Amino acid sequence: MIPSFTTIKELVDKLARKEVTPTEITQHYVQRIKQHDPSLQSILEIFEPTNDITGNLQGPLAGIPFVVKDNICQKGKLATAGSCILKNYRASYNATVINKLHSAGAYSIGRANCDEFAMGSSGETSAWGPTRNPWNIDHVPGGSSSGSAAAVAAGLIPFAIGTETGGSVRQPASFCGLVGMYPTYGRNSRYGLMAMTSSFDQAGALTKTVYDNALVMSCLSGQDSNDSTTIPLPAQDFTANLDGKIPQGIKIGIIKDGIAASIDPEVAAAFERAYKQLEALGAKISIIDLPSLKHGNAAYFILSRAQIASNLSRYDGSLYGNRIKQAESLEQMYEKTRWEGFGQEVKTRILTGNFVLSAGHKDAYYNKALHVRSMINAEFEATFADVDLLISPTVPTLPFKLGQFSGDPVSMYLADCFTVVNCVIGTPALSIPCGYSKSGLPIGFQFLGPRLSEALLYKVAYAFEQNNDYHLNHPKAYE
Amino acid sequence: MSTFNQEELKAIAKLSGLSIGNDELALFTNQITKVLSLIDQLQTVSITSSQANTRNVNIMRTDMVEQESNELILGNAPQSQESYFVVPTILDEK
Repeated sequence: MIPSFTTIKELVDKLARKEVTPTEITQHYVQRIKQHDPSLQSILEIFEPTNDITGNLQGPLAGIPFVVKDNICQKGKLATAGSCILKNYRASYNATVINKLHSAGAYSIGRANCDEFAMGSSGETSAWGPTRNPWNIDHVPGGSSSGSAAAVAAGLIPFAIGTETGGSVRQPASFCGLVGMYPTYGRNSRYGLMAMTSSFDQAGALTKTVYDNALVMSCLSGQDSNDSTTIPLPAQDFTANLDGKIPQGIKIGIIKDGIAASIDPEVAAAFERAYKQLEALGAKISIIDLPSLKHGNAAYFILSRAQIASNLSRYDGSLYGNRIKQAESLEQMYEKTRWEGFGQEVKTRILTGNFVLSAGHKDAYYNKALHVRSMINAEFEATFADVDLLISPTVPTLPFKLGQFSGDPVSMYLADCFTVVNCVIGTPALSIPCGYSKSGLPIGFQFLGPRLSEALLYKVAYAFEQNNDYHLNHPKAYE
Repeated sequence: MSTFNQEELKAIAKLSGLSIGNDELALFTNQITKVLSLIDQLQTVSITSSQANTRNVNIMRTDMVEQESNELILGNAPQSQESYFVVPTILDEK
């Protein structure tokens, strides 16, 4: 018997005690997806179990199923990145992170919905329809790893893999009451991830608990000869120091913008309870002003859109994906295939990206943004000489309603202000739940650390989690 | 403040390999102008360092062919013939 909401740790324990078989686990989750996903649209496809679906049954994730964001390659399976332009594309190889999860004993049972080419913060730009938040289906689950978050929050899967470039794992984690981390850039291989912003993209896990997240991240990480931007360090076990205690006297800085008057009052209240609790648990809290933070959004915009314009030029109808039926020339084939195949958000970003790279503009925009990135990096390095970690609300707003920002994407971009800045400089950050609005919508906050500080982030977050019971709370409609 | 008008949009669309229709010029010009107003605030930032630090290092490997089945790759081709991808004519027959 498997309860509706079961963590990876609980499943591993049940398998070890032979209370459940791998086949029963697979059947349980396939059944839950078929029953509950129609109201969420978080899963694009279930891979029906075959005899060897349960994998090698060895490793820290032996017997545990997961789903994969639609922009990650799984050999022989469809991968559309939430886009019409890749409508019938089948990946010819596994992403390294998929191979790593297989080696750890886990197995994929499906593809999760996402914003088109990972561009969005709500799940609403997917060509296959928006995903809904299981805590309230009139609200968005966040994005771009929308399906990954909604599926885990609704108990349809024990964990899901997403990708993050500027908040696309942490923001949906926050909106769905989950744990999500952006690791140090280079911690995980990008081989097999459909590139969006090559300098920022990282795969990450959406899980219900900190321990589960640390376990999956340990399995995902490691140097890869297929991705020369991976960090040359041996694999690390991030579950090793989860003792439930905060290092006494640890210096934690509240990012000043995170307590500004513009933050939603319920988010502000939940965040205040969180840092007061950290103080009671032994942390030394201070307020840190980061003047370069206000430039983080602008630097992120420019650098990411420039890379998007370059990365998405490969989708042209020649070798794979959709191609328009009639074309009088090769050029027309490219231009019309791309115009019809991409959605509005993707096209806007490609056009903006090529604008900031074009002659006469590159210095003012792209090169300037590179300098600003160095400034942000220097400021963070100086800050981490004074404090061990920084904290802020993950998002300044509550999970918003579907359609709330249609016609006003700029306001949605601005709501990413707390998650983009560490992605620009490649430092890790971890979002965990810290409360709910009066109407029951999840609120999250995040810890940010210096490069390679994931173990400390998990340790402190675990202590906070275990002193609360947010991780034991679930959306009632999916019990 | 950078100006962004429909002429500029058409030029960028051409460079981007995007065939934008005349009835869509206004929408995209509007959207991009809004985004540019957001990022124009960087013009006020004064740069202190002389060089952007990009920390990039080249990592080399031997260029070796590994056997890979062509079926999955050619199976994705919108149009193919034997082991070729077929696309509209590039060279005129004259």
